[in-house]
Amino acid sequence: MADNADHIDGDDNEDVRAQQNLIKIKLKSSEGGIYECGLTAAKMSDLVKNMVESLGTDAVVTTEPIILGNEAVTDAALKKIIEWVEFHWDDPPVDHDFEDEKDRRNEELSHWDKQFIDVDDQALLFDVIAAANYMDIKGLVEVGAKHICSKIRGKSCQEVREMLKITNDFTAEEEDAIHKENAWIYAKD
Amino acid sequence: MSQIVKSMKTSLETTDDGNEDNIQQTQIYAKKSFNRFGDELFGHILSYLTFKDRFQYECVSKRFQRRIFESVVYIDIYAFNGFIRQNTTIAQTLATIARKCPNIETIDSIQLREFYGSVYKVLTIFHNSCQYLRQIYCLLRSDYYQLIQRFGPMMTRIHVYDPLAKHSLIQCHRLSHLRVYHHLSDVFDTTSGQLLANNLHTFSFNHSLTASGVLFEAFIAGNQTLKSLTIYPSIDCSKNMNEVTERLSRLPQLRELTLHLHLTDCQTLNSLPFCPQLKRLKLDLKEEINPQMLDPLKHCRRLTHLTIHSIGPKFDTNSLFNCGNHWPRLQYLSIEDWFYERGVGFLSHISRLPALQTLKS
Repeated sequence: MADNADHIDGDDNEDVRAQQNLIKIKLKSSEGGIYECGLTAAKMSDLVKNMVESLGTDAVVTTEPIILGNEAVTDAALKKIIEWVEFHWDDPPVDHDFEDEKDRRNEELSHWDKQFIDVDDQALLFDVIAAANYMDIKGLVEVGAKHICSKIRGKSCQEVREMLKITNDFTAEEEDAIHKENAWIYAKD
Repeated sequence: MSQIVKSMKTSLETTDDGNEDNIQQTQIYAKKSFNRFGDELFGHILSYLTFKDRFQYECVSKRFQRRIFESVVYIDIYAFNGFIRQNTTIAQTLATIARKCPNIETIDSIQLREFYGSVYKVLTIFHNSCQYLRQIYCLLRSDYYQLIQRFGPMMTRIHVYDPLAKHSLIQCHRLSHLRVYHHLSDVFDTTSGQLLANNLHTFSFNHSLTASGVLFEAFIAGNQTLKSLTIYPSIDCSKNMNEVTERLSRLPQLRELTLHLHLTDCQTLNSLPFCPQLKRLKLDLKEEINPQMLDPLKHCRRLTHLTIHSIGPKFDTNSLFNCGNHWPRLQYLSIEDWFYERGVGFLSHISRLPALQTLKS
């Protein structure tokens, strides 16, 4: 089994990650709800990861839950976030030999992520994105951002305002001027 | 729900007199509004829009206008292709675009092939407005003298379509990605034999009859940094690539290899056991894949991505026998051939790959 060419790089050891995810820690939402989450999954949040590392794993497991004080971390948002990290914790680690993160930016969302993020309640959707941003879960923020941009695509500016609950603060003249400046985008290739 | 909508309407119609109901309604409204996000997250979300879409949605609101362009760090000037084709006066429009996107770091002009004058003009306009511009990707032609003079030191990725242009390469000190459309001799000075591109990260060339082994030897000496290599076959050359691939083990950083192989060129793969550090391998084969051919691959134990494209008649499933032991880290496997039917044997081999995440077959 020992194969010199096959030693494991750094923290990428799959087995250790799987074992650590059997350890459960408690996360507390801003509304007071307490939820369990696997340690490896929870550490996809850089905020949680830093807390665990400064407090020590033992302390986190045995003592009080980790408090996520941001108001976007509602019970419902935290439940969604835990669902996401519990699905994604064993994703392959970023390979620094390649531009993985750059490539991923342009990739379409997976079927699972699409279904996960297609939330009818826009307040909850935005809570999940804001909470993921607060908890520093880059992959989930990306899923939310791609989802919103795919919803924007193909709509008129007015439809986008309605969808995103934004009021138009341009005058009609200002809007016309911008349209004129940007007319080049309609040229056919 | 209808009640909320109703009272929301009222709250929008009446002026804010500070009563509690109003504040509560504003908060409900605010939670669903995109404006609830702070500037950084607001801009980050919009960064997933395409380049052209940003211009389309600039006028959604003033806050959109302020944030929608700040994350544009890369542009492919092929986006202007249609516009440049139809218009003779482009300078003003491009200057406006450049002004709106001041954070551009990289300009990709490789796909804009036809208009030399336009490439130069576009680059100049963006260079004047974008203070962070430091990387240009370019298709090199022999008449690009002025372009190289001015932008050569910024060029990090180059495609050499015209062999006469190769002598300009020496002026591009920061070059990291190079594609030559002809032979390996395109990276050597014709008279002095000097190597024109050193310390590359990514390189691709067409394999030819003429002394590939010797030239490749000299190329390796100046490019120990190489991480990714692609070799295409030349139309006029059916010789196997053995003399090139047997030298690959002397590229210590090599992680990615793409080979397009001719018929009867299975010898070439015999060199692969000497590249145990390879992580990504793509093979384009012009013949039937059999277990013997793929046998050398079992020594590439660090493979994370494997793509096999074959126009041969049949993929022999037994080629993947025991693959789980050979490739413990394989995440991505893609097999394309003309033989669509995959039997139970195929799946049972594949299911033994412990790290597999993506299968395209």
